[in-house]
Amino acid sequence: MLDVFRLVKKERRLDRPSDTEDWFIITPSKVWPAAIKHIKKVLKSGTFPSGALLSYYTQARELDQSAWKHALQAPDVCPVELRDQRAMALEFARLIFTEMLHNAVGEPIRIYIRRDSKYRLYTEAKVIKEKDRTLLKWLGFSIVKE
Amino acid sequence: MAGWTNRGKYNTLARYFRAVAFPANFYIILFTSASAPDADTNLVSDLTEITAGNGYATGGISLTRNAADFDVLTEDDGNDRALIQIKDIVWTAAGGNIPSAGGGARYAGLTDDDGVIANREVEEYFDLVSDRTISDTQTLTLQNMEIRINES
Repeated sequence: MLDVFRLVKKERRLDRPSDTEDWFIITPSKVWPAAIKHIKKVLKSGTFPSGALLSYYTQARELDQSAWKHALQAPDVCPVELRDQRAMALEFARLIFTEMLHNAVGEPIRIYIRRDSKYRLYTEAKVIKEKDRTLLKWLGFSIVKE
Repeated sequence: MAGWTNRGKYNTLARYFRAVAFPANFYIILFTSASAPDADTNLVSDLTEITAGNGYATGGISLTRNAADFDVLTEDDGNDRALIQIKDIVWTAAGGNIPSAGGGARYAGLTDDDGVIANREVEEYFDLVSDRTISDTQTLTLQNMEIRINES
């Protein structure tokens, strides 16, 4: 089981001096490799947790396996044809880690993700736009029908 | 696909920078596939809400503007954006299917709280990928619907 509290810091932000509440601080080079390692392990086991995580894992297993490797490399290293897959892998890492952290805390949370160009979704200012979501158009929420 | 409507973008800027009154509540409404929402969607009347009954009330489920209902808020310097997630939204069918008649739920929309449901403004929309019918006694849960602000 991934120890989410070991990976994040909970603290005030010096760049928000009037803010009196803590944030969960994510340092990409520390959190995303650990999260991706955990995700790959869960995907390999074939046994997925329940709730939103079940939906995320069910969708994440559809990704090209190389996406997880490329997610740990800078975006310009990734072959052009796999850049959307790499971005999706990083988004799943964020969504799954966020859900695990939220579940562990058990109350509303605020997260701050530090800048790290290596883990940027795309090289330039490009973001996942609607046209890019056609590949996996569910990204952004999950549905559970019981 | 999910996305802000242009009306939603406008409302957000107007409320923040011009102190236009915020709605007391938002709503999550389910729509059929009869009309697909897009960036130009303005009002609930532009779309077709699913038929009420069996656990689905016209106008959908209310959300309060607070941390309980918008429960995960993220500032992402890594990708120059901010994101917020909505709490899990659950409908349970009782006494029959949801919807009780007509087409299934294909889209969910976040709206304001105008007293006239048809006049509510659609701020954000989410594609449920296929038409969803909730069988009697079963539930439909929309989890972690996420709203993003990107600068691109």
